[in-house]
Amino acid sequence: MPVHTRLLTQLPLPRRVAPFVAAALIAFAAIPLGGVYGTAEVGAAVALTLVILAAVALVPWERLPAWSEATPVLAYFGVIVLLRQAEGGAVSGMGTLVLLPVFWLALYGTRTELVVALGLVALAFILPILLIGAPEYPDDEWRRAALWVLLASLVAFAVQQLVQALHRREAEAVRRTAELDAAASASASLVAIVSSSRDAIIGKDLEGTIRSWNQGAERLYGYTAREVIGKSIEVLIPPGRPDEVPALLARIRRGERIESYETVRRRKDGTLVEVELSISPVIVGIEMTGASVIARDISDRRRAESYRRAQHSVASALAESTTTGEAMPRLLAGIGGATGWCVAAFWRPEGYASSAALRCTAVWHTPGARAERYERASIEVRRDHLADLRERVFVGGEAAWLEDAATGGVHAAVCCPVLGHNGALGVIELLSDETGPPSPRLLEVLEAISRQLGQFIERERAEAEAERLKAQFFALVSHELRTPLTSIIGYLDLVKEQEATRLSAPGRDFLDVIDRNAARLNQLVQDLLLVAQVEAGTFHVSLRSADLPAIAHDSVAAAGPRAEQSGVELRLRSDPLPACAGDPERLAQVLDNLVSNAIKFTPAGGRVEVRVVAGDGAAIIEVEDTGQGIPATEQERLFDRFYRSARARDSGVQGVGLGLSIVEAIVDAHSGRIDVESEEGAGTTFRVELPRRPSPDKPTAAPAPEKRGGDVAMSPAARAADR
Amino acid sequence: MTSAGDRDRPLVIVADDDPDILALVSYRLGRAGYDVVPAEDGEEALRLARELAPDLVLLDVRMPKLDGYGVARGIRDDPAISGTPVILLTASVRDEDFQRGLDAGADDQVKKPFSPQELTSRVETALERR
Repeated sequence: MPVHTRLLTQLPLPRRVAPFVAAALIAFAAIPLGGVYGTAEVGAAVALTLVILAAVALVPWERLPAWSEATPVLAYFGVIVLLRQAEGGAVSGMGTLVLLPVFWLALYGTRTELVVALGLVALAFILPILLIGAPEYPDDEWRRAALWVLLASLVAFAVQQLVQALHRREAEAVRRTAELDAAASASASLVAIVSSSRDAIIGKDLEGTIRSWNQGAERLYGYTAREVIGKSIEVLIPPGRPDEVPALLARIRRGERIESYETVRRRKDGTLVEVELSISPVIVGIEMTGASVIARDISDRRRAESYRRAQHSVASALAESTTTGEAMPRLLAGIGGATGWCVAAFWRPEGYASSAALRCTAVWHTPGARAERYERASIEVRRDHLADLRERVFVGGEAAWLEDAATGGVHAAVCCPVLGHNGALGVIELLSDETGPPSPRLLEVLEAISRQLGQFIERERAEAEAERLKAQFFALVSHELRTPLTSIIGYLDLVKEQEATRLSAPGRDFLDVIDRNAARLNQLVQDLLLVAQVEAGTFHVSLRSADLPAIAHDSVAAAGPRAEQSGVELRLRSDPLPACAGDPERLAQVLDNLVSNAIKFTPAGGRVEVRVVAGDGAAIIEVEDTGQGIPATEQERLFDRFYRSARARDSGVQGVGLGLSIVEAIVDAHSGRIDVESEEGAGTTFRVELPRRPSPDKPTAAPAPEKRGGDVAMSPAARAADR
Repeated sequence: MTSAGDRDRPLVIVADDDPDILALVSYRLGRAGYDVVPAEDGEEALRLARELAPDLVLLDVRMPKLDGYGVARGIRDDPAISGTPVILLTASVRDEDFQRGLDAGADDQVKKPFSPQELTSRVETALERR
């Protein structure tokens, strides 16, 4: 790209006019004075010269395109042609005049301008010869003109090449300088970035000698650059890791990059710091000269991870435990193990009074050889410093700490209250063998854990309270209802035995009504107690030898009168079955409930069939009726406590909705299963399957007095048998 | 002080703080051929047991001053009468209460409400076993 200098625009007015004035003066001076002045050609030349000078001085060249600046020079050729025409002189005289603008263009113009100028020069020489010819221009004038033009062209092109080459060199130099400036400033900012980086950036050679050390490294490791440059990187390695540096250096020498390498380094003060290293080989040219190490302190990240672990282990300890006592060892181990505090303890008040003294109910300490030391130290610290602190935390309800207890190797201590709705429920205490306050994050975590624990303890207390109320209910139902029932039933029996004969027929009927209702009330109390036991998880059956066909027979016999009264046909079909393990009274209760239900829900003229058959490894009891059936929507709720089907409610069938839930509980306690199959309008079949286990003892003729205290009076079958 | 062997009819001490049940049980056992001495609380029952050396003691569990378990333990701890059969009358259905009865040294436990036959047969059985 040719360099075009915009002379007319760039030069000040005198300097841009001067060459034209000088050239004009030379041109006019060079003309032989004899006779030509005053000719029309000279007049025109002078006029053109003045126009050119005015244009150079006055035209706003900067607003015009670059090429326009050549026009004054080209116009100048017009002056020369006019003068030559006026003079009619030889070429040689003209030559010097022509060369001035030609060289000027060679120096400053573009190649095109130069070619045009040379073309004009050629015309200026050739036209007069061509037009005028001999004799004024002799034949050799052609040669001289051509020679001049050729010479002028060669010199002009050579000069232009030279000038343009110089321009290019100059531009190149300018560009290089700019690049060097940019590079220098980039490198300065790189140095600033490296030296002020928060990450430690360390340069070392392939032998592991430290070569550079930035501010981040000073902050991270505590050594200044002056202290460590020239020393081995081994100064940073904690004891007990002799192989780490050689192994890393070997990998670097193989040209490997090491990314995100997590390890431990030792600070100047001897404390350890967890760091993540990125190590890259440094290659200058083709030679590996060392490695750069970028080290980042990841203690905070690790700490956050460990706190998350602590919270997680606490949450799972609480989720998997039913009591605080059970959860506490795991919980303390979780907190201590994850946070790195060497002793974790839990303190609870003795009793519920706010003035109660605190008692340590669980302690955890770092396992291993130092355990004993911790134990001793923590006891000392407790005696000297902590009793006060703990009481303050317990009463004040805010975490507090000692930064340095300076006793027996255990230094810092944190106490955090476990808060419930009505004040503190206990105190979690952490001890450390390092000095320093707990981090704000640790306090947050402890508070979160304490909140969880507080909720757990409150829930536990609420459950204990509910348990106590349940026990009270048991006592109430058991004693306050059953004691008067005992009197009613006992005296009624006496009256019926001794006085009935003296009563009138209606009187005897009245007694029967009392008897029936007393039995019903008694049954209800029994059922409620059984359900309460099932709910409390304290319901058990005592497995003995049970003769299912006999039990079914008793049950059917006892229900006979009721079936007859309702006009329902009651049938029993039983296969001979070997005695199996079961609770005979409870199984009788199952049959009684199923049979009495079937009779209740079967209209007169219907049929109830009880079947006791042998199944595959099981004994099967089926109670089938031809009643109205149970809608599918009700079937799944059938065994719920206090659930009564729509039909039971609407048709006024007596009951509270406990019968089937009791049947299910008893069957469950025998590890059996119960199913119901029902079709609306066609009937219902309850099917109980009891796994056949060998009878635990040989059935005896007279059953031994029952150690659990018999419920004999309770089951209608047994009552029937009693009478 | 008479010993068990000297009596024509076995002597039974019955203790219950509910006078109706006390009367009912006493009447039943009397008709079944026992001499019955009623007691209205646990302390009286234990005092009478030491005084009379009965053939059997029938105790309600819940009684003022000293409950049935306490009386049973008192009898077991007194060498002079420690072999006396003890039956507890209980209204509880809870297994732990049954276990407390066993721990206190009761020979048998009868749940309320009970039928007359139930009661007399338990008493008979306990007496036969001694």
